[in-house]
Amino acid sequence: MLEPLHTFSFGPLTVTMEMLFFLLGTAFGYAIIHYYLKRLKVNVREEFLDSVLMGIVIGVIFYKFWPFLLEPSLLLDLRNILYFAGGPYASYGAIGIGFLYLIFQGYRKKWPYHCWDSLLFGTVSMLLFYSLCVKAYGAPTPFSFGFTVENTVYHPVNVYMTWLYLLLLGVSIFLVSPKVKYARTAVLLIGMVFIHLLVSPFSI
Amino acid sequence: MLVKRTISILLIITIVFFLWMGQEQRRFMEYGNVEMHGLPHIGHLAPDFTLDNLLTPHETIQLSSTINNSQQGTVIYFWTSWCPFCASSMEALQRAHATYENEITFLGVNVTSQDSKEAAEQFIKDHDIEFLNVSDVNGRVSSAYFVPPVPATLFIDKEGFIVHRKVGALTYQEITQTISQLGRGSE
Repeated sequence: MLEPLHTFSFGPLTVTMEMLFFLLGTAFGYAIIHYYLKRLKVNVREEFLDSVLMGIVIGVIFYKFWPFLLEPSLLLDLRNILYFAGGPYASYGAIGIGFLYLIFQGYRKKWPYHCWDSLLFGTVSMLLFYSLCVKAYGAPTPFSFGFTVENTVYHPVNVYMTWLYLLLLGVSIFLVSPKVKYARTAVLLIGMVFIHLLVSPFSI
Repeated sequence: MLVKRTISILLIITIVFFLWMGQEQRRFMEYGNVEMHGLPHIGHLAPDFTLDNLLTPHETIQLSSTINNSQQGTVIYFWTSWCPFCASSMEALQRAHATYENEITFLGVNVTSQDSKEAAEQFIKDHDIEFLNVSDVNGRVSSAYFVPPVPATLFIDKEGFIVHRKVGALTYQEITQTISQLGRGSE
């Protein structure tokens, strides 16, 4: 497991572990969606995957240009396009707009429920991948296990998340039939909320 | 069938275990002797440091005193003079400092271990910076905060907890939005 604030530099581009594994996790989630739809032989697979990719691209563009939406005058100097990206609400906005695009496309094209099941599988897999790779320090813990920094033990929140996401995927694969419409989508959505509640006493 | 049974048992054990842990955690936070050390992550206490003032080297500045003296919070900004991203953010930071001077303390930390003191002083003059700047000569504070990359900005509330961290250039809007998260409300 890696420190979230460590950075990788590729020439002038610097990426934190958080960002790097978020992007790698997104690629992993995309691969899971591909595999899920292929296994269930869903005929709109290519069309759906194209839309997922487009949703990701829209999210990335939104994140990049968020500062220019708030301060259009920055565009007067084109060098600012290189310098500025993101902001306090940019990541939420980017994820939200990416999902909204997909929901709109799904409504327009009447995709089968397997597509939504696969999207949720992809999302949980992405979160699982991220939790597995990047450390998340929670509150100080009364237990002896966790991340130790200067004699204080902190809850390894990402380890908890990894186990819970793994279990959630197991539940939705083995306990919920893919033939029941939107059952897996509902289980995964409720599961994500439940995981958040279970982990909240240890998070910070 | 066996897989289904195993997953069901694991699920029940996990839920019971997490609920028990949650209860123990609540008890620990209420009655336990919780020691909070500084960690440079969001939600944790900002690690304390003492550094020399960049322009008046015999004057030392301590982060914890700066936080205690600030009304609404503190913004720490790690920078170097050679970094174009740092230069592009300076106007926004100076503007925000002028707006929030009475509520928010702005503290620039020059990563002098990767810069030169003369260049840093010239940079302050060139950009008409009025907020306080300190010099991290040996880079110990910067590395404790996982800096470089520069610029890196941390927004700290009045209790000393890190609310937001940004690596990269900042706009004025971004600073004001984040300051509103520190409890100041609207401008």
